[in-house]
Amino acid sequence: MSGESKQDLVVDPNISEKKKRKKKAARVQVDPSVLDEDDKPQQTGNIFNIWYYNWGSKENYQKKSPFRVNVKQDSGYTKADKIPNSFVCLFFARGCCHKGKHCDYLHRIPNQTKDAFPATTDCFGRDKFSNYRDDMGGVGNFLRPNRTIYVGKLPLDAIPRDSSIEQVISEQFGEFGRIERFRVIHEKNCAFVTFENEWNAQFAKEAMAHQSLVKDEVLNLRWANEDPNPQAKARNQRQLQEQAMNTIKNLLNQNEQRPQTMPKRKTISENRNTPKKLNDGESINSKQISKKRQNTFGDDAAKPEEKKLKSTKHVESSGFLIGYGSDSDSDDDDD
Amino acid sequence: MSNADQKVPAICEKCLGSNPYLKMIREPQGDQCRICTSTYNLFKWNANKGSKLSRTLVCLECARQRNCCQSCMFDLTYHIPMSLRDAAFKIAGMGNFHEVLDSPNAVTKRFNAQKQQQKYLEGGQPDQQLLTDGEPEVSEAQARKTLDEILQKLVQSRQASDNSKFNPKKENSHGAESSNNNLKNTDIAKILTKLPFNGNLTLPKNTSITSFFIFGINNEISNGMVAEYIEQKLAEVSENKEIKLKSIILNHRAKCGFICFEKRKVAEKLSNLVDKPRGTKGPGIMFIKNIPIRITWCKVKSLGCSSSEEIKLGYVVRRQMKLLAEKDHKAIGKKANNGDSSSNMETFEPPGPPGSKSNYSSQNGNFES
Repeated sequence: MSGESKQDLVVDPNISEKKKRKKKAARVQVDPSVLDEDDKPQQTGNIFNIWYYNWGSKENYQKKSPFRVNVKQDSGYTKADKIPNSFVCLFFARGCCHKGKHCDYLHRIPNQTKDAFPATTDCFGRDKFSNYRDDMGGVGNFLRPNRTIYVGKLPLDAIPRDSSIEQVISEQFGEFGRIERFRVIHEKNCAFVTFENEWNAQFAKEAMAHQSLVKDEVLNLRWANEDPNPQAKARNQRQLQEQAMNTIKNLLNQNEQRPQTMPKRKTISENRNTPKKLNDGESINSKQISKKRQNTFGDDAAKPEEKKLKSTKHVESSGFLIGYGSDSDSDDDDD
Repeated sequence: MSNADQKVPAICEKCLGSNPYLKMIREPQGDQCRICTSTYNLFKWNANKGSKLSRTLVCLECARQRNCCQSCMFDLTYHIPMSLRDAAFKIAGMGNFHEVLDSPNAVTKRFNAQKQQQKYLEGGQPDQQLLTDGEPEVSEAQARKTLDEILQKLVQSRQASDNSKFNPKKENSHGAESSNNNLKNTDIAKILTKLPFNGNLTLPKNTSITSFFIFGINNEISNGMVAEYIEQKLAEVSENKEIKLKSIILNHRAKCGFICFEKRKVAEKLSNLVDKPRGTKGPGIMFIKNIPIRITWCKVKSLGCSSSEEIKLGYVVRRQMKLLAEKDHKAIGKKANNGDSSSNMETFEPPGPPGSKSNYSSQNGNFES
């Protein structure tokens, strides 16, 4: 696994043949010797809260983070680049990953077009929940894709003369991905930043949390509620419409070309006495199976349960095995 | 209860991976459903060799209700995210049995889930039943038909919205802030004096200015669109490495913004590429998504410190755009009359009937010159 050292010359087909580009290894962000051995937080109060694992109250919790990620400098090649479907390193986003190129997670910002993380997790692999937290913090909601971050506690007074808060936001948040739009509300000292992609929004939320824009203030990043502005609502509707249309078109096109036949799976014939409404193994005939396999499409609103498990199906639960023997158990090729 | 006897989870092909010999671990009552917080049988498996362990996240009832895969939560028939499917059905105006309103309250969630389960066991409407003996409820052909229908309706509704796009009433719906009192009282003179609405694209002598002031943007234009446009334009003349946009600031309420570059060179290249309808007299013009946007050199300035200032600025911008458009039109008219065919400005005028472009001196209406 030491192939990813700086000495590797990798030819990137996108760059002209004249240049061979070295893929940069991810930088170690924190010297591991600086970090404490155990993860007990430094004492800052009198009482240690064992639920939230910190000392004292929320005010102490809102401290400026001593680390910060610099996307240009720190991103690079890690172990995870070889493994498909890996997630982004959370500590990289926070600026404190000490593993560098040996890290099992990606050290770069999510790529808009190439990266596709499952809808049920965020780009770091943390599971989403079914509704937002009361303070709109943490990981988001899987039922509503959200690309907008609320940024509170903006330092509107501390901006240097030759610049503006909009510039600062645009530059600093722009590091983490393509911003679609942002709006600063001066009266409330806050801003809403919408990214083109929800993975970039998730990354930015972690990367900028507990950071400061100008000097020493601590930003408050949360997920944003839906924009109540009717114009924005109409715009979002239209975007959703476009998206829906495109996906449907793709689906229809996909089906016109017969997809490559996937390996046929057959379920183990199951116990006959399954309850009334559930499907029995016996009601599947081979015709249905092959029909299913040909097309990912008609895949079964009706029979989600039939999903194919061949032969060995280990059932492990409190130490008892459920027998899957049945009369028509001819497909019993054990591997 | 059927829950406990579940042998096979409701998952889509993609989640199962490519291996036909799949090993799956089942834990009865192994986890809490993400949606309804009731216990359900947990299933775990490795979709592809060496990949992460996939697991089911929601219980069978919730998945059944929403017609989605238990682990990736995409729709089972169409393989699109639930939110997209719901949106598509809604916009198309077609009934969607599988749309479920989720409540944030934990107790309500459990209650709803229970109710749903009862309904199912009692037999509900036949077309809402997903798990029936025999043929799948939504066959492939049917699914295609539904999709086609939805697509048609979506296209129709999009056309309808396009036709009714210009709605002057809607344009002014900014809410309470735009009440006339507020706008009358706000004074944006200070801001206006600093913004060059009549500026031009002549290279400023101060070489530290690497930014442009743009106005005329619409609510539709996103930062990304502007960035794309600029990158496209610059890609024609320079290599990829040189294009370094420092930032793009758009204030949609004020209908204006700034584009900042890191290097002066790149900024100069852009200014050369942009159309200048009146040469050096007025601001340049770009067309992004068919919306005219004016551009001039300028340092980054403030665009207002409150919503009412921004909105008022927006009105000023609109007026200014009209003025500039009139001026440009006149200028083009003059040029055409003088037989000057060298101006290669993009106009929206459709090509006239054959013969209209020929400039005979007798047709010259400009008797003054």
